[in-house]
Amino acid sequence: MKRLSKYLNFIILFVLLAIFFASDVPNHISTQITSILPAGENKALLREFEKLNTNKQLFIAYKGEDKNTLNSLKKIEKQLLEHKNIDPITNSIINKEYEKKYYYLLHKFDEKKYDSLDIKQELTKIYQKIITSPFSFSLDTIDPLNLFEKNTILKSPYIKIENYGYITFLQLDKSVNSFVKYKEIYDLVQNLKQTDAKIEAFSTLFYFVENQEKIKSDVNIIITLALSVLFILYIVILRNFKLLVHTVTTLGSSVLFALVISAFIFDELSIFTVVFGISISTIAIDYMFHNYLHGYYEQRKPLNKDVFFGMSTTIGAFFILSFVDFSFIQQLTIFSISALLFSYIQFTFLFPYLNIKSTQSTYITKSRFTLKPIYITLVSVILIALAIPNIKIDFNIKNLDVENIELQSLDNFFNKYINKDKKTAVLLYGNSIEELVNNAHNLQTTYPKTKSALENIPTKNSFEKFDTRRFETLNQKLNTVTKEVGFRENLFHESYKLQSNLPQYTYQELQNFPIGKYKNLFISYAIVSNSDYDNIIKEPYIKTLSFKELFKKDLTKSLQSLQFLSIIALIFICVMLYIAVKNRFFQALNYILFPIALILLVSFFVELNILHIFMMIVLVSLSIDYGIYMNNTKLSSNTQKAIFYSLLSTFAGFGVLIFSKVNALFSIGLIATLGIVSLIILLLTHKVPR
Amino acid sequence: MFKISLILLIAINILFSKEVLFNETKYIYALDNVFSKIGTLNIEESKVTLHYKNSDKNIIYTNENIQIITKQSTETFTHEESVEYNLFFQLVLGVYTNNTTLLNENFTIKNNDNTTTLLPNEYLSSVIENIEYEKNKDKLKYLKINFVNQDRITIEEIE
Repeated sequence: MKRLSKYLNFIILFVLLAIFFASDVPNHISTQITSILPAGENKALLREFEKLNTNKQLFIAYKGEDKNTLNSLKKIEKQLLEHKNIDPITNSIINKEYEKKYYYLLHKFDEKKYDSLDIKQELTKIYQKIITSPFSFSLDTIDPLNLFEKNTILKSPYIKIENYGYITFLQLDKSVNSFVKYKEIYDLVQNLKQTDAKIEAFSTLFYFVENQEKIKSDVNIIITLALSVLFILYIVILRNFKLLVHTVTTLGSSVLFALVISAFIFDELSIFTVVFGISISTIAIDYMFHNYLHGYYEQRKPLNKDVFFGMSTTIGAFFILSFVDFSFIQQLTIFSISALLFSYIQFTFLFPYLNIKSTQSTYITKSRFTLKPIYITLVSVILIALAIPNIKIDFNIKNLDVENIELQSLDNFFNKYINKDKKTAVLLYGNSIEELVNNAHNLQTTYPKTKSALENIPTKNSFEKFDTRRFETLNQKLNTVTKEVGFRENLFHESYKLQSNLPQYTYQELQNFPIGKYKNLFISYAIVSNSDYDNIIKEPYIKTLSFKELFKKDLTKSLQSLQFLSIIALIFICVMLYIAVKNRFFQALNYILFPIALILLVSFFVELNILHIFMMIVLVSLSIDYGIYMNNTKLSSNTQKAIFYSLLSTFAGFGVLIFSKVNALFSIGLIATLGIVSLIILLLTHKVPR
Repeated sequence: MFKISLILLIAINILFSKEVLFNETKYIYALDNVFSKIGTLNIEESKVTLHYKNSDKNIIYTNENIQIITKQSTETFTHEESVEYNLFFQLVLGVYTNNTTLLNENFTIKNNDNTTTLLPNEYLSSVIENIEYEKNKDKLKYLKINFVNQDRITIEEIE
């Protein structure tokens, strides 16, 4: 039994590792920023939109002003087109047969031209064009008199940019909808770029690939840094390798346990939850240090009440916050509760049986400089009062994402030449497909700069309004002069004859169009000009698809519950504090007020985001532990020592995030570092009893 | 010195230039009629000039642009603006100078016995069905362009 308890820590780790892989936890982890959006209609619609939006484009530029520039670009284009998912932009998503069938209903009729039309003269002009054309003249027998608006058939897909070179654009097909496919296209383009420095390429999907890589490399650096800090703490300061091995094993098990529990509760777990959660789990080292330095392991003393109070307060605060109606916070709090509870149980009940010997180190000395607690309280209150009017909340979720400056400048470069008018996608919806199609047409009529694939589906109204008699007469007139002008007999026999019935507004009939369904709504999207955007989103059948807007809306809603539950959590913390330290309550309160004051100084420089706020709450939950330990009547220098060590390990977990380039992680790291600094100040100025 | 330079320039020009006399037969489906005309192609090192008999038009293709010169006017187009002429000249140049790189820009080349078939890329495939040609050494026996709209152009070099 004794031998078993010695290895139990490792056995637990392996069992959890087996469960972790057996229950497919890694597949629950999402790197997409949308995974932190609260589950709900907006998120579901955003996901549906992502499925529908098949028009991903790939822009290619070739730099150079000599005669071979265009040829070089064409060569690159040809190489790219060999990939089965890359198509030329000319391949419209609209089925050509479908367009032909409803041509007269889908194109704008030129009434003015019709009124002054001389058919014979018009046909003679076309005849002349045909015989003088250097190549072949593409005569449109559907509308030979050009009475309906149309695009030129041979239009160059290459755009010449003065003082630069050439640009062209390709289309990525429907199946390019997963990260694996994104990466495949990205790698293909990067390989081409490596062969020739004159090539520039951009697609919005590159953001997904590059940002994921950036997050991954950032996380790797942070993990290395965190491990280095822990290594210094255990091997150089504590000089206890066995303790390090068992602590790392316990922390590893606690993370695995938390991941398994979280994946069981949430279908999708944000990568931010995992990174942040792992950091929170290191807080548990605090429990181990207090037990270890107060001899609870060597002497197998009964339960350490201070640690129990500290743990209960932290977990209690997280439990209260888990009711905030925001997916990311729910994921984090569940993860944290699971990890911390698991570690506490192991550090408290398993470690005394691991035969860990205490090694005294001499690195920490008592401080001679002490401050009256009332001064700290006063300074804290003043700083908080000064900071509160400055607090501004940043709702822009994109500010939490990776700042990919290189890709942004490429995005701007191509936008400048190709999408001169900045555009945004909006979601269109209707109670039936027919209503959806009508809405698309209405939108296009009101805002002509709008583009929607559904414009290519005729409306019932356009079918009913089609003047069959007028076009029959036109057809007859046209056919009487055809032969006379010199055209093949019967060439225009079918011209201007509407040969189809009203289209069926069903999925089957319209399968080539981007139409989706969410609950009872039929949805599609339109690309609108930014100059019309503000008015368009007021239309009753439009929803914004701006991730920033959706997040702001949900965050505003969640902020109310976050504020309310934060107050409840603070009251809970105060009650726990009073129970734990009684008459030294106000001195212990400094451990909450001072970190808050220092953290709120951030609001003088930047707008606070959701992670700043959440991290502040986490730090308050933590610092209350120290408030309890430091104001215990039986305070020993070992307590101060334990706090120093656990602060160092907290820095390893959270503080190192300050080195991250991902704004979300940097925000956490910044607040953690400020919190740790404030706690060190409190600790150094705390009067240690003899 | 000037005279020597001038003689040298003319000599180089003669050396590199090639004049091709050809007969172009165009079948236009829409008119159900065949049109024939005789033309000359003057292929020089840096430009190609196309001229049809009984026409006052000279079409000049250079690496920079395409010019259409008549007695009254000169119009200049970029290669992208004049897609049809650009394609015509690239095709003729590619075939005459055996420049497969040039042809490969828009076509896939297939060689069967004496004839060569050019299959258009996706962008051109909406207009051109295929192109077939046969050469006898440097001489073009025929070049046949089959269009999607059932038009056909046949170019034959005249002795």
